Amino acid sequence: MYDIYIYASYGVTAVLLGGLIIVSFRQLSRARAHVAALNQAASLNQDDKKKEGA
Amino acid sequence: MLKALENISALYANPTRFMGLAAKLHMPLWALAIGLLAYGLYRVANVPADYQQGETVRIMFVHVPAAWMSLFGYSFIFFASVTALIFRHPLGHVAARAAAPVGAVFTLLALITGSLWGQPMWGTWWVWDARLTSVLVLLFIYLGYIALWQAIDEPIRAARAASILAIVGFINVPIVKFSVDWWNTLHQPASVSRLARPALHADFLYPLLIMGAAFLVLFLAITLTRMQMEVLRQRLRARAGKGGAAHV
Repeated sequence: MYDIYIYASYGVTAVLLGGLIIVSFRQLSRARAHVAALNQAASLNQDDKKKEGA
Repeated sequence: MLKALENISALYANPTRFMGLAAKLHMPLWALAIGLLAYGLYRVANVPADYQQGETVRIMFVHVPAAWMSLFGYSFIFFASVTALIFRHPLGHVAARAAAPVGAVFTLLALITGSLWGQPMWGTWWVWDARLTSVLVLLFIYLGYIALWQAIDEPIRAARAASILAIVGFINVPIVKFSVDWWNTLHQPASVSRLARPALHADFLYPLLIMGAAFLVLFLAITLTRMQMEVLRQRLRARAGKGGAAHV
């Protein structure tokens, strides 16, 4: 049985690093979703222009 | 050697090529980080109690690697900023900005775990000695750097201002490192830097080095994840017409 300071140290480490990892992955997946949505919108626009041209 | 480094640097200066490389490195780097961390924690759990510190010595295995990463993180930001500002490497600002929150978290972790070790060992949570104060200043420099990026809307100006702050703020890194030698501090001097004759017994040294390696790979894995996010955000900003991705 360790004292409270050891549990607190490892607990704070897990919370801070875990939080940073979760936030980083969430931000990355949001950025990927935004880029994918824009790419899809751009390709739809191109298709519309091609149809108009034809 | 220098030519080879220049060639590698030029090859991955293109953000699209960098994203390809990052996609390949992403999973192996995270797997290595998790593996090293699990092995490090297993070794730490089997470390004997110290004859002076008792079980509290276990705090050292997160405190010391976190403190190493706080200095490594700032050095990383410094070199990335120099690369961006002087050599105009397009990924320099991306790398520096991505590493800043990671370095700040490791610095905060070093301060909190140091405080949690200080209370049972020194009988106090905090003393204004040179090492503790200079690490607190390092945390404020990290926060200032992150705030500067947020405060300026125009990305090119923000990148330039943040780089200058990062380069000027680097003066604090040797102060943190050598504060225990230059001033009379309550904080003990370095125990591991003399690798030929370290002041630690092997029972403590190897788990500490494994945890150090785990934190280093974790730092690189989180920074790589954040760099990918920054490149994508630049693309979004460039499309929205708020600043050129090629410049920042």
